[in-house]
Amino acid sequence: MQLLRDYFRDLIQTTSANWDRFWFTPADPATIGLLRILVGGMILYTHAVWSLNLNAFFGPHAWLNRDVVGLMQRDGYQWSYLWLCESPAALWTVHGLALAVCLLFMLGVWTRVTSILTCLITLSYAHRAPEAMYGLDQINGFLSLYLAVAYLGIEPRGSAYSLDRWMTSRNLPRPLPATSPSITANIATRLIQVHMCVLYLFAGLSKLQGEAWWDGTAIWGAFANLEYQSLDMLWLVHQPWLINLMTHVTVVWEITYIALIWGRLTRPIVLALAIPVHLGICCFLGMMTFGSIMLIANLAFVSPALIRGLLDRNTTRKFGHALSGPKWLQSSRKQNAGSKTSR
Amino acid sequence: METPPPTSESAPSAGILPAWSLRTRWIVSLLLLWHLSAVVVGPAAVAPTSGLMASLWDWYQPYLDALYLNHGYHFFAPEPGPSHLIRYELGFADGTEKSGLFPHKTQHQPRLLYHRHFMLSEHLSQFAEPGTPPEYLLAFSRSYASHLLVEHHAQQVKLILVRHLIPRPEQVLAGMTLTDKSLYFERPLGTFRADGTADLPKQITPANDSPTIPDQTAERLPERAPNRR
Repeated sequence: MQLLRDYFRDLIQTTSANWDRFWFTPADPATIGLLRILVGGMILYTHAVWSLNLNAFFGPHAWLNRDVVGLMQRDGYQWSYLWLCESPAALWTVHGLALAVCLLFMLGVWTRVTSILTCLITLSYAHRAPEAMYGLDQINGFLSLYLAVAYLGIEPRGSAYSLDRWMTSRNLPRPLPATSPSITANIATRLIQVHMCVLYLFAGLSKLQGEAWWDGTAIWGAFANLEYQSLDMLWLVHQPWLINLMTHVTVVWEITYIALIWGRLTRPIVLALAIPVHLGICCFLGMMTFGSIMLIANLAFVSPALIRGLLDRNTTRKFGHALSGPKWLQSSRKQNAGSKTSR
Repeated sequence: METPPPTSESAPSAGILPAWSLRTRWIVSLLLLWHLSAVVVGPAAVAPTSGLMASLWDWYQPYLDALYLNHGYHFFAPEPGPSHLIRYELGFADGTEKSGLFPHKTQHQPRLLYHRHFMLSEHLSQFAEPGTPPEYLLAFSRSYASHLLVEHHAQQVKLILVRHLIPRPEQVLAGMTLTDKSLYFERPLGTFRADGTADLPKQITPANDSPTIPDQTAERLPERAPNRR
């Protein structure tokens, strides 16, 4: 009995300590800063493209009228401010403002506010025309949500790779104070990481219901789909073993992602495999934006030290320390060279 | 995290946050547990699913819907299948006619805009499956028709759902192309007029929703929220 009590006490204490360490350790906001730029850029592009056909998708006579969206969301809780725009003039005004907010968010201006607004904008467009959305919008949605969480606790002066930091530090002597580690930056990074694991797990498990993912022909079905195809890959018909290999690797990679991504030695392999998988979607299946946002989301698993190592030299040269990282991180880069992708 | 701790070189006066109190960590932990369980329930509740997951979905639906987290992440699952397009034939007051198709790779550029139109036709096609209540197919058809009538100032529009099957490898080896006529199947969705009247095929009228075009594989894309209909 005592043995059992000791076991559970140990279990609770260890779990509690690990939970605290996992979620509440302050993190350098470098990873979040890079993600803000890339995700902000993608959200800006996504919404800028709506401008080419804005009235057709969000105007009074849109493809999806109030009746059909109401039918799809009749027991839902989706809200969109775009329903309030009943004239093209109003629609274009709020759309222009939305693009401006997304641009400010990408650049890191008033980030605490613009991050929340960017999230609301992303959700509003998705809820207004849900049947015109696909994977890209789903990833945009949760990334914007988690970035908004991150910037709740990152002070403007501590916001990596942002104009906020530059604007609030213009009159300070150089070198600038360090960008301080932030708990919310860590929570947001962890949320993206865990969400990506869940996403890949269900993407993989759902494939197990299909015969083509077992008999190794599923990739053929994707490449031989004319409506998706952006590059002719029909030559693969002469290489059935290659089709089989790509099919099996895709499923195994997606299902094991949730386990292997956390290992120090296996993480680089898992991330390296993400590149051909998602580049294939970009180049062969015509979904450049979806493939790109998946790769961007995978950057949540790249340590801030590595990002500092790659980016700070250039940003320091161009903008001084206002946009780049703290001196202590730059010097510690060398010390961390051997464990840059571990966490 | 492997963030190096500040050293004597640093000047962390830019507002280092104090460690959160136990109470704060408890509150945030509960919020995290709620959120993470919702993130799992979302895809787990997509059919086929258990009664337990379906019940949990009822709890989490408002949260998942509001934050646009209600996705299955079933990319190309259970397996890649045929594509769907919508062909339309417009009739004008002066008696002229014009036809079109969406999505259209050359008309809808850049590619992201093409995919927006592609999703419109793909989502509609889900409701052309047997067993789906016909009011969904009718609502989508009416909505698309209404848009086309206004955009083109037409008097009437006929909508046709086009299913484009994927050739098997042996068919391609035998010389079949992706645009072979035998790979296309059409199903009329109805003729809709500017005055609000419509001629509907039997397939869309209630009590008869049998499909007229063959299914190639199990249902595929697009991504969708859990089916609560």
